[in-house]
Amino acid sequence: MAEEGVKVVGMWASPFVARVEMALRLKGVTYEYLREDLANKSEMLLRYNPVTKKVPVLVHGGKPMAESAVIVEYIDEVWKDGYPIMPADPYERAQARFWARYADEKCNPAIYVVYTSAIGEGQAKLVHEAQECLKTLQKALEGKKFFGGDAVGYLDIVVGWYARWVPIIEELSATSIVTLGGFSTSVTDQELPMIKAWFDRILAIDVVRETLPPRDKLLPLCKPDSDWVNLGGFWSLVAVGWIVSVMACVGSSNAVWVTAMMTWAGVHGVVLDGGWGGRSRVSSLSLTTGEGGTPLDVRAATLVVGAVAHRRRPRLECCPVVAVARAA
Amino acid sequence: MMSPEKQETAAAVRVLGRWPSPFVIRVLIALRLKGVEYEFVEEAMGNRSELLLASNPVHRKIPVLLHRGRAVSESLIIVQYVDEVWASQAPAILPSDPHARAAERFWGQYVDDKFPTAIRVLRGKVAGDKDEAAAQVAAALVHLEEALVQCGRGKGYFGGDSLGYLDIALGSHLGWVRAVERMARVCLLDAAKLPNLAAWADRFCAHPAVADVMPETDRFVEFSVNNDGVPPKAAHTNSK
Repeated sequence: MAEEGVKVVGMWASPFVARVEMALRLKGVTYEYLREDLANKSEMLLRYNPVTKKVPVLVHGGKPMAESAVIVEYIDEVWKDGYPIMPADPYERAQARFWARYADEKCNPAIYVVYTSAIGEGQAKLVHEAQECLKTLQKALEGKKFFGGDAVGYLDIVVGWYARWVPIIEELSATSIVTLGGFSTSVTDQELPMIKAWFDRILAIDVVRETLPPRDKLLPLCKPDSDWVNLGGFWSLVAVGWIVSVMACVGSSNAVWVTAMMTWAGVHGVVLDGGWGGRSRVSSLSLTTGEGGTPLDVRAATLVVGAVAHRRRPRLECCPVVAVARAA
Repeated sequence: MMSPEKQETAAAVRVLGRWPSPFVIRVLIALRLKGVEYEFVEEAMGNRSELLLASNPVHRKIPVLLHRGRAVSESLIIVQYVDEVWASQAPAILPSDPHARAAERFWGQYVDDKFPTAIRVLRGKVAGDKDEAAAQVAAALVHLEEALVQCGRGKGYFGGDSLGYLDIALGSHLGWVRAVERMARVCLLDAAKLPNLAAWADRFCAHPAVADVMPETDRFVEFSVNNDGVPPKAAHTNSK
């Protein structure tokens, strides 16, 4: 029986594993999910995929196979009477494979690089490049509800994970790749309405929603390291006697902690309400001291935002951002 | 001398490419295996034709297959297309068993991950550590030796009795593999360590569908040496 012994070796946050699960669920195939710890790869995984040692691995009737896009085609071929994943026409199949490859080779790295980018001038260029990749990919979508036509198909399965990951990346890097507004500081003024509409449609599909990692679990995983480690830098600045102003979200636990320590240390400071996920930039705010004293000119301040508050890059929401200025 | 019908048919299938590209060679082998007549349209080095730019606007690279007024790009995708369009003509390029197909597709992708860049480094066309590149190719070939035994099951090719998808994917690189062995003075396909692959390589190159489209190693070496005037990382029209 075709359904005997179907196993997926995977990891919950892998978009490539999600592809395989999506395909199996579209076909109505029941499978056993074997959770893998990628930091500590099991002997089983290394036995099933000794060459690339990656997830996903599909095991069917004891035979393993790897590479998510290859596995999806396998699933379509074995359960050929079920939901059609690949187009029937050879030219359309070639097009689907072409765009899947384009997405993996060009779009993925372009999007990833935005995720790791620092806020600044260079970032706008990276966002623009990611947008250009997605605009090109969009050609495969034009005039259709899904890449597969009226229903989800191979290419939707291959790139469906963008609908979950791209908005998270936009939030974490404070950029707009597909959607203007929201958490972004509007790095470019372009948005991609066709892709955005497709994001909404694809996330409305049960099978897609069930297999993509939930946003509330994925977001914290994608966040860079916490700020706690770097507050040591903050204290060394305090020791030098600089006035420290701290911009933070009112109510954020980091802000409360920092304010308390400042009071204890007898350091003059300012807590600014940056707003929860707001668009504010430090330079656009006027600051006042806690006692209603003279506003500090932030433009004269030396911003130590990146180095002190955040190891990788500054984030303007939900963390203390430290602006350091000499006392007037 | 082609009959008028065959001439018309030949014009119906065109391949845009240049001979030393292993990716172009793949497409030609696939068409020859299926006995499909085609017209080869040679692209000039470093100068993309209007036809190429119109046919492959996304990558602007060869090979491109033009058939029924439409363009198909990416060599392994073209090979699958040829297999599917001319499915009624033997031999089958991909096996019929889905697991075997998945295995060949997996290895085809593996070949393209491991070989093209390493070979360019060994040719001196792209900056990189030549020792590392050679080691990468050699390690990949060790895996492929095992794969040949598993996929081929003791028969002559990865595809078993007849030359197939993975034979084409890997075999197309043999011209350059042998050329860089000579140019970089390194042994990649060691017959002592990889006896099955070494025998397979000779068998592949002698196959009628291959022999006319993959010239002798000398010609590859000559091509590379004559291109020494072109600076490294010059625009490559070689696709994958």
